[in-house]
Amino acid sequence: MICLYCHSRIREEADLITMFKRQKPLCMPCRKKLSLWRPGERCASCHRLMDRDECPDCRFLAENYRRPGKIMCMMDYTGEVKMLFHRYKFTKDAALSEVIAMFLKCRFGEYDMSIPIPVSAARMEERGYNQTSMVLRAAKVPYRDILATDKAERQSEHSRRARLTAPNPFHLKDDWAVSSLAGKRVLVVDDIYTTGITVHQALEKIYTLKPCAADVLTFSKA
Amino acid sequence: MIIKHMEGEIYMERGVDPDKYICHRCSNDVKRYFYKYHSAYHGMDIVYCLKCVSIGRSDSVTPLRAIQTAKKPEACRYHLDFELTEAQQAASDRIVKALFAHSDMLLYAVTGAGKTEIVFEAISLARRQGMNVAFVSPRIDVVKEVHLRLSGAFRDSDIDLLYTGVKETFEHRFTVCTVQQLYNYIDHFGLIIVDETDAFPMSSDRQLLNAVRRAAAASSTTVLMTATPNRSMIEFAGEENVVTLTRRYHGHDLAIPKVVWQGIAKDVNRRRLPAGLEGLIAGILEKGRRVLVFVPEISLMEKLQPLVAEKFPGADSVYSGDEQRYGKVDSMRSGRARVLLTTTILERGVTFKNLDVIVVGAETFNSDSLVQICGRTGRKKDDPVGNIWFMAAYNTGHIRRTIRIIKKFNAGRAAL
Repeated sequence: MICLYCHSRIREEADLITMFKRQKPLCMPCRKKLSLWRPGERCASCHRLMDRDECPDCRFLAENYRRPGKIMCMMDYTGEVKMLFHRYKFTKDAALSEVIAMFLKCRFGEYDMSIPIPVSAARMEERGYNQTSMVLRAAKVPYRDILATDKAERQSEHSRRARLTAPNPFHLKDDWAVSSLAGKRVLVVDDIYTTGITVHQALEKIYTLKPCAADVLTFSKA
Repeated sequence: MIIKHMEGEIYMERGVDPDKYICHRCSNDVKRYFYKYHSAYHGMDIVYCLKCVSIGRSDSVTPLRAIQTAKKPEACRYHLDFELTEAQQAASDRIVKALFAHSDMLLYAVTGAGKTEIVFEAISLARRQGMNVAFVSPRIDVVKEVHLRLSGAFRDSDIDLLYTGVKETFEHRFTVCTVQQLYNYIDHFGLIIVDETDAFPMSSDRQLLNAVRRAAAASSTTVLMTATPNRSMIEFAGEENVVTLTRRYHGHDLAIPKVVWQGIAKDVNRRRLPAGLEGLIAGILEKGRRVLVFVPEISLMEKLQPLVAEKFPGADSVYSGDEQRYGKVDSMRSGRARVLLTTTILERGVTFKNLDVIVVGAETFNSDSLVQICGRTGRKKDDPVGNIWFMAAYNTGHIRRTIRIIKKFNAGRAAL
């Protein structure tokens, strides 16, 4: 067994507890590095690091969109975590989905459905996988792809302003029975939450199906 | 031939053989270093190589593409601020001779001998004849520094710089890169210089030497440079092709380490600074010098650092994953910080003025590391010796060997 992040061999002593456990694909030093959270005050809603009382992103979103119940964030987007996502998304190191899946401490059972943010056809052709649903699959969480997108360009190439003013790129898949989400609890899953605009645009479409609650899970908060 | 990700003609139908588990790019054939997953998009299982994924994924569904290159000579003049010493000149001549004979070479030079400058003449000659030149090293720090130095000397040449995350390429004719990047070159370079050949991960990964072999053209010269050669390097170059340089460029002896028999684990676990260590640091600071304290493990360093900082304010620590690593090294270089705790990451490639070195837990280091660590002191002409202390709980073969190697260097003999 090797650590999928640093590729060194994992040596774990076999004792009564570890013997019957499935071995984790991450070595202890890497696990420590990836679990670091920067100290400091954070926005109660989106977990953004800030020194003011009110988070400007959240205020903007609240003015323009209906907000989700809560936003859960699993890793702090800094140092090694940045490197992790860079490798996972841009060098196509798909094995890292297992690593990210290890950090999902979320009670998926509380929700009737998990919905990953989709990727465009262009991105799919380039990368060969949807980075969000791949992690969910690695974490053995059932999910439904009810959204689709036609947006081709990368979010990370855009400035903050451009992201906030772009039109909604998501649409519901046609074959989706409209009534079946009514009164359900849904969880929208995205990989990296920067301004929050992506998930809120996706939520805008999902709210048209009248779920009773919608929360957001994001792997990392930039 | 250069393997490119998206362009060029198809060189292999696919990068990885999914049945035999062989990567056609980096020749990895250890099953452990492959990852297999089911891709819904492709509708099949995909196997890719984890060894070389950092330079672009090589997998079982994408063909490897390569572009052919033609020779292109250039004048390639260089400029040197000083003259080579007699010994350096002799070594330089030997390498030039090897270049004409297309034979490999091992340059076994003491730390601080001025290895980089020795190969300038050979690089210039090779480029004039149109050969492609690569200067590679396993360490990113070394690659960065060598690129700066070569750019300063070869002002008219376009020098490529390649390492994980950085890509400044011109025409792949004069390249400075990490060894892993050589996986993308096949039969391409006429002269390859490998600096710090014994550093991690080359010391433990035999595939990397094979990558060097494969990147070299049929008639080519590979120069391995090291202060601590091992058997496989000598075999690579051939025993008759070993050139030794036992004097530093300024001609002074290497400092011989003084051993203090004291373990520090007990004191550190009781959260107090070992008295011996405190005395040594205080003595060094009194003389207005700086000190690097080498610590075998990050966990020990984390415990030791606050204890040292309590007595000597401003004492800091660095390790490989430290984000402020370069900033801390710079503040040490400029003299703002005077005590720095470090793991083996600073064992090579750094030069500080007026530096002394303490190695705590010296019994856990191997002799290659220890020789490199000793080489940190006395690298400047106006401070040519420096002091080294090993703090060890007990004696080891590696400590004895280190002292023996340094004494032999000083006596003008090289211990092969």
